[in-house]
Amino acid sequence: MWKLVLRVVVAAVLILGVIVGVNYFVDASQVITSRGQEQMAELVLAGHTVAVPENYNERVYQMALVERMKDIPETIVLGASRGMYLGKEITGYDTLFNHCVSGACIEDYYAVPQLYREKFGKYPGRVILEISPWVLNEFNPEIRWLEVFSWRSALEKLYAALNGRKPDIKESAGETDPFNSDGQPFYSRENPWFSLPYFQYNCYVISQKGLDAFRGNTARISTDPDEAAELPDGSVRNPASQENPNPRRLAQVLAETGAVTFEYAHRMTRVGEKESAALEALIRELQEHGTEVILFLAPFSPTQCGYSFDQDLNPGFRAAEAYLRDLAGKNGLRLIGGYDSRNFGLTDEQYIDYSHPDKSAVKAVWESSNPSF
Amino acid sequence: MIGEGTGVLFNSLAYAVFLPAVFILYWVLPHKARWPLLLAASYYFYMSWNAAYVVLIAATTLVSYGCALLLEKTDNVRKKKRYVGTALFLSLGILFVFKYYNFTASLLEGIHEAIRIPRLDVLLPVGISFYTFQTLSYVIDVYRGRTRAERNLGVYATFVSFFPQLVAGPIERSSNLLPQITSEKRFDYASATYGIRLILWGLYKKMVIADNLAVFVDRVFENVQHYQGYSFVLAAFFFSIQIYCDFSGYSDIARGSAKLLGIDLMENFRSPYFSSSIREFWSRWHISLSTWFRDYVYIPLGGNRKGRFRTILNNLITFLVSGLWHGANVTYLVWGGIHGAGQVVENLTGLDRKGRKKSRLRRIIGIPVVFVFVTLAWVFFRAKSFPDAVYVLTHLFTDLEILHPGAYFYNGMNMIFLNWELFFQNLALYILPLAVYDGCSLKTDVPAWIGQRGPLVRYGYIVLLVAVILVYGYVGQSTFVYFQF
Repeated sequence: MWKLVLRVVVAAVLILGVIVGVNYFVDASQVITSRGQEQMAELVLAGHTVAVPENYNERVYQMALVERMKDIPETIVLGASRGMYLGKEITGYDTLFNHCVSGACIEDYYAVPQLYREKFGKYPGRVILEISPWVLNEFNPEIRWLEVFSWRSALEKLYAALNGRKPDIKESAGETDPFNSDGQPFYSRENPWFSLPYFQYNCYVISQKGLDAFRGNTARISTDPDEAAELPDGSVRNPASQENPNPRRLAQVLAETGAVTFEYAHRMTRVGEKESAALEALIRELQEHGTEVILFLAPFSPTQCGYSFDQDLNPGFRAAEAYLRDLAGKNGLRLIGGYDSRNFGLTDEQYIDYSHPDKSAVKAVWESSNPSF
Repeated sequence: MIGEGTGVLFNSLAYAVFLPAVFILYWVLPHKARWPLLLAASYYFYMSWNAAYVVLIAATTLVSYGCALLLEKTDNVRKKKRYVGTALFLSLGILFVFKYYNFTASLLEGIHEAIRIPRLDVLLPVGISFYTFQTLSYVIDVYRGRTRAERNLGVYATFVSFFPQLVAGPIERSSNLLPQITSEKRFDYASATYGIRLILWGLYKKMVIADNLAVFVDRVFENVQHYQGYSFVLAAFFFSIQIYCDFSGYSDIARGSAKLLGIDLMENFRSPYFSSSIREFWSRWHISLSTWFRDYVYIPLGGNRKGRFRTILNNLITFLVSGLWHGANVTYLVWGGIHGAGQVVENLTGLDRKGRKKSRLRRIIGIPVVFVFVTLAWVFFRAKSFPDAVYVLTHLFTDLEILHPGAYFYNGMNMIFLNWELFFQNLALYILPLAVYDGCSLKTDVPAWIGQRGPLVRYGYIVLLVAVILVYGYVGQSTFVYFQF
């Protein structure tokens, strides 16, 4: 009997070894190692435009950047993908770094300030907060802030210090939560080292790339405007096909119909209490430390505004903007932009999709200091 | 809906810890302590689904145990009938309350709108149909004098709750399982490795084939109005494979787990899709249930001994009851009825008769015909409602243009997000190995055959299965289809 037990144990150890080995050495989503992100950070901080390695983790990249910074920038931008164009060129601020990460929710806003505080003992002098309405959505199911342990640790420290508790980990997003229909936890608690789904994904990448999959995703300097890149100020360059107006891009913008459903925005009717309290606590903290806070609201495409505002399919958007304007008024914050693009004279041609204004649109919004809503 | 909690699923990490722990303890402990260990492990296993429902299995155990003892103590036929009637009434009563009460209430309410019957807000205890039938067969066998009543309540409770087959069978007969629980056993390496090979094959069928096909099947059957044509053909075909792999995969893991403990459970599936008649199909599919219905329903009704009409009637009744056993829904009744009708037609036309001369041609034609018949019947089994099933069957060939069939196939695959690459992957990874294995199983016991080969074949089989399960196995949580019955 013990002979069989021994063989099974050896087999189990071997299987585990293969899983851990493949997950570590391929690490296709770069959630275990940060090689690619570290290369990117070094190149960007050296003043290069860096082609984005496949599947890099934006939060790991942000941590690698702050870790390598020699001086604290005067201005930083926090937010999600809709704020990624806010760079030196648009804002006019010389020492600026854009730290926007895709799928940012209110918890993410706490991470980078905490990283600066830990590294330099202070916050940057100016913080631009790009805030999309769903950041204030109580049903926002976004989980990316949980995925990277050290990112999560950083944001939890500051969040707990300012709110008296750690951020809630949502187990569901309301009564009709599709993620929870099978009784599973709302987010993955998988450890990427031992994760079988991650192992399967890595095997898939091996099947696509062969042995190259083990060589990792190398970051490199790019001058090719047809590829996506990170610019030296942390802002982004999309591939030319997305970056510049063209019929295909416009067709995509016009093809979007109905309510915005991203991050469950269609279920948002009001500003979430916990979310707004967390935002206010962060702003208060920054202001108390002498940091100027600017709110930036990126508008949706004119076509989308027809659905979201005229047809009132996203009532939460109006509530979020009213709240943010009120917050800005009460706290003496500069608020730039607004969610309705028609107030800025923007057209569908200036959009990448229904929610992402292109660089010219962001510039136009930034330059219109006080739009009427 | 089955009982809350996910329980210790065979395809979970929990079971990968549970089974080896039981295995080691079982062989380390002295003989006398083994059945108590199995009893404790089995109750723990059952309670992991829903601790409260342990009362039901305990009650069913006590009722059948007590009635069997009383049956054996008396020679009075009237008393015997009373005892067996009591056991049937109480065991089936529990089953009725939890499984059929709400269904019956809705049927009665359908008769007249003035009828209003309160509903029970209860979840179906997992495996209730299986252990109820197992205890019933025991009591009936004692009543018929075919088996002796077990004196030891603990041993009997172990027979009822034996964890490998507790929640989805095989429905064991006391004559097979009870003696094995108490018999003194010595560890047999060959038998244990046979069990491991069976478990791995079961996991492959469940995790790689059934669960991956379920993605396509569920997509279609959850929203039939959104689909049409070839997507229904694919969904029905995939479900046919899915249900077989899901259930027989469970049975293989159950048999393999029992084998590790030195216990032989009955074979529940024997390459059913190689059947050339409906009758043959039922001698190969869910054998423990079909033989149960044969022995305890069909034969007591008169079987084929009372003329042609009664044979037909008995056949139909048996299959309708079998359909109802699977679930309290009209769709299961229809499914049972279709199989019953199919067998009646075979019986009347002589298609199910055995004959050496015709056998090869009959098999060549019969196997695909029976497969198509069974697959179409599965539509009723899988559909959420009777109208859904009818919708699927009446839209199998919509948008098929004989002169331009390409669009029919392309659209159907497109609708369920299946491309040719995935289709051939499904074929190569799922259907072909299954067909080869089942084809070989017709002539030989494959795990035993592998065990007799050299190390290259023995270890190659294990390494290959483990690798495929790790790389292609569905690793989300998925329960077994038959847990709901």
